[in-house]
Amino acid sequence: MLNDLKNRITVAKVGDYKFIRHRYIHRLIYVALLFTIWQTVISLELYPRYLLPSPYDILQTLIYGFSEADYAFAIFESLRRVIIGYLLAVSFGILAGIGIARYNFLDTTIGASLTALQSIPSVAWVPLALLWFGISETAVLFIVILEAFIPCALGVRSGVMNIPREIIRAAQTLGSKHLDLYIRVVFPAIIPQLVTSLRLSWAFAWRALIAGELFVSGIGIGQSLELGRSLADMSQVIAMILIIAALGFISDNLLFRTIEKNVREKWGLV
Amino acid sequence: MGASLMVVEVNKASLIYAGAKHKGQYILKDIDLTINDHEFTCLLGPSGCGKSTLLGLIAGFVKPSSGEILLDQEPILRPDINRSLVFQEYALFPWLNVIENVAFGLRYKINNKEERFMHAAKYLKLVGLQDHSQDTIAQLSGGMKQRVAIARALAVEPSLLLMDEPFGALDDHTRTNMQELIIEIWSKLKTTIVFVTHSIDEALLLADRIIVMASPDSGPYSHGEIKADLRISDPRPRELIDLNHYRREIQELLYQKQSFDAGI
Repeated sequence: MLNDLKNRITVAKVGDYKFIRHRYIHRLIYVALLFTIWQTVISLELYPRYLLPSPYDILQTLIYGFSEADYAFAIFESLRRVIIGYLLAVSFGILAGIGIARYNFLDTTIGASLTALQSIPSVAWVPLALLWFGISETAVLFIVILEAFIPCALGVRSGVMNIPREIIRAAQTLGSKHLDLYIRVVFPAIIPQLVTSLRLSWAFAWRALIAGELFVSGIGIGQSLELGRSLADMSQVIAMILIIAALGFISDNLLFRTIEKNVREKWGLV
Repeated sequence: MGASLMVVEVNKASLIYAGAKHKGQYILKDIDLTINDHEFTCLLGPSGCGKSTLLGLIAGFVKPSSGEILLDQEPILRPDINRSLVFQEYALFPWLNVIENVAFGLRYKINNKEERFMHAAKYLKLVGLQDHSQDTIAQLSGGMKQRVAIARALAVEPSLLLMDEPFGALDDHTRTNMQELIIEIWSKLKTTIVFVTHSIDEALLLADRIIVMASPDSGPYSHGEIKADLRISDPRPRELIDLNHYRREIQELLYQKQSFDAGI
């Protein structure tokens, strides 16, 4: 019977593996199909090459950009900028979120205004930031921090408010109180919600970064994208968009979603 | 603990609804109750009679609007480690494993970490989960979770163990096992227990003393009060069949109320 069980488990594993392999095959076919259509449109010469470069042109731009030009440095600068802004934003966001959840008067004032601010798209802040800080890195950081702060603070707020009352009460009857209660219970209890908020904040920070960089001087992905436009270099424009997509995909799907999934499993939420 | 025999004293405690919708309505009115050392007391009554609220008052989560609640002559003002609570929904900390959950409150009693875990292991053994000390909470069944919660509440060696419908979320078979377990533990430790339940059978099987609670009149916002205070001195383990006269008595108390309701 044990053998039978073992067999069944093995079969299930092989099945899973097959399923995963199929998923990759499907994705591969999909991407190949996209490239085929793209290449076909190019060979039909419906559009001028400078408006619609071929996949090969873009590959060449990318190779040149990374080996001869400053693509790697642009990515490094953008990441440096967004990480600084993001870390500042989420540090304040966590504290603000806990404060808003703790004190009713903060919720009716700051909490309510954050909800209103959240509906403003990040580009709308660009003119304001440029007038205040000039066409500098500070302006970009301002937008990144503002955009990443809001979802983090609101997420932490709702995380704290949704902690089951019994969890807090159990801790209190076991002797925990004041700051100790926050450190040992409130903070760990909101970690699943916190990870989701951190992922959202990162997505907002990333979008705000690119929006801000389009308008300021210096080195970065947004600047290279804008340079591509002013030089009418469509290859560079598309290459930058691909880089933005790739970095976004790696951070969101591979990094944050993996952490999120593991945390939710541990906290018994799946 | 110590020489005093009396543990909890509830003196004319009332609680008034604080929410905006039914401001001024009584939830509990003029409750008088004394709970003695080492006694197993059940608060029994239909839902909405205020039995869990009374337990919350004893725990210190809410303060009475008038009257007072004393523990060994001292008024109860806030939750404290000498009154631990077991909840229906377990309320375990999912970010900690089993033994860490049990050791949670020991942080405030024992400085040495190793001693803390040894002490926690003792209580984990008491509930029969010594082989699961490293399990995560998500891995456990409902019955096992409640065992951990009981071990966690007992490990801090409270003068009063409060239990709020602790077996209400469990299936019949597990509930029977847990009832046997709690009697076994109580016989060993003689911790004073206040146990809230709406099941007459459960109260009959477990308690030295049953406080029957009900709302005196119909309507969803009527206040709860104590209807009867019964002493069950039958030896344990008990068979329900031997307790029929008590059951009839309690049912009559609750049925009286119902027919009274119907008459209005």
